[in-house]
Amino acid sequence: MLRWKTEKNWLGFGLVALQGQDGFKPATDLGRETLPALPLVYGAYAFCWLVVIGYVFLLWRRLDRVEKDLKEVSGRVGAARR
Amino acid sequence: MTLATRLVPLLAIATALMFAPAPFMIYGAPLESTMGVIQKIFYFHVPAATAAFMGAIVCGVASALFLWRRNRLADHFALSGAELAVLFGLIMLVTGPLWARKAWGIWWQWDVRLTTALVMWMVFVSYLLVRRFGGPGSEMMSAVVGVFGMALVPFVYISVNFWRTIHPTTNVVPSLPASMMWPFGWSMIAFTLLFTTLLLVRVRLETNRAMLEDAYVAMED
Amino acid sequence: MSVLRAALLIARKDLVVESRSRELAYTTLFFAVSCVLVFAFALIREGRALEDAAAGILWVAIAFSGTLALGRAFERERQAETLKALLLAPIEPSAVYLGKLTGLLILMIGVELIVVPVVGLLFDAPILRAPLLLAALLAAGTVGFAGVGTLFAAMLVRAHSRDVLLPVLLYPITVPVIIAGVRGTAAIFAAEPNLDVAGSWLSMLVFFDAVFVTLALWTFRPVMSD
Repeated sequence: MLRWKTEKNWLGFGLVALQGQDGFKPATDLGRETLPALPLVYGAYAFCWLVVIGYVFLLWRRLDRVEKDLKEVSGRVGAARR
Repeated sequence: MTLATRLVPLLAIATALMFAPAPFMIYGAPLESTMGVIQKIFYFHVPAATAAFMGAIVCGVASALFLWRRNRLADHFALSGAELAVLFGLIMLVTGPLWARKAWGIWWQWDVRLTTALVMWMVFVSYLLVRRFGGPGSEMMSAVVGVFGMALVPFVYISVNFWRTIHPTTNVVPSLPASMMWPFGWSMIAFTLLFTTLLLVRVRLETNRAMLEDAYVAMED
Repeated sequence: MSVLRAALLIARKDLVVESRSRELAYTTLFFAVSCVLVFAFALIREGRALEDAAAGILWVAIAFSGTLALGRAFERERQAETLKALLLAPIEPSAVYLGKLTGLLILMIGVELIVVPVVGLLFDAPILRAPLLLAALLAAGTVGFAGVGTLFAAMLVRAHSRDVLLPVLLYPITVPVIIAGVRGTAAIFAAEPNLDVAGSWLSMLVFFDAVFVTLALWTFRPVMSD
């Protein structure tokens, strides 16, 4: 049902009124999947984790370097003042 | 900033504790009737989108504060907000098409929400580009981009709204059954915590960097 | 001196400078026409252009040539640091913004006066079907584009790699102008024209202009007074 509607829309905004779904309902009957969905779901979650972990790692490295530099420089400035 | 510094480890632990059971809760949630497994992307897609918009709002408000008050801390918040908007926006823009491929049969659709989100994301990418390649005075220029970016959202939304939308509406969230609401609410809180932690750490990095620059200037004098 | 008088003086100065060399007018115009031709070749199927292509090509040509004009107009002010001098003059900074904007608008509208007939000729677009509405759409779209563009080009004068950064900043933020302009013009050019739709896009453009020119006037002073 949904696929038929989207195809119409995709082909050039057919006359069928399309609406955003208003609610999600838990399924009672299963087992009529055509396109495998699991790789897409796993891909999406893997991507999320990779991006977040990558960012945290980069942030941590940058912070580490800046704090090291800051300690060194403020030590030198302090020594020069004395 | 000392309060924030003390808060960060606590927040980080809370975020980790929230994220650890999230995959199991999402796994345990029931399958949706028309979409099946693919609907599970929703549990991370929507919180990521929310976090991206929080980043955009932080950036816009802080940019305005920096432009008219010249508050340096506001500038650090604006930059951090923009970076997080780009980060979470990337998650939103990648997980969305993965869902759409199965649910709509296409990767992308020039729909209101998709277009608005994409344009917003591009504005914040351009914010970071000015910041990186603009040279001296780029804080001011990027602040203008932040303010204009925030003012832009309603216009993009209205201008694309003439085309019909097939994106699920926001009514989905309040109407969720309890079995789906739990994992969703849980991921929402987890993402909000993650956002806050990352924001505070990123602001601290920027503040330290500014201090380092001041120290170098002091050394040269 | 009142803001408007100062703005008019600055616009006049720009036009006098331009009328001596006519560098901007010639290069921008030639660039806009080349844009139209390049897009025409890209979008022609079996000797005919795609439907609705004319409106899109027209606005892309305006946006691209406008970016070129913006960059060049401020490059001129940068070389002898005259922008700094203008800002040091005892006038409101907003007058400088309005003056530069007026000069650019006159230039861009001059270019459009030639590009629109070229598009009409090459694509068989009915440019005389609703001339006033088309002119209003073009004027409102140009004000929106140049209004944002003048602020960005002015602030990027001191930036490194400004040539690249201007389009990078300008295009995402002027997306509503391009959408509204293209949709409104397409509604006029369509086989079954719908002038009401074009009118509603026009009102959206006017609203955009009001908000973004106000914001630009508001941010011009803090950004330029460093």
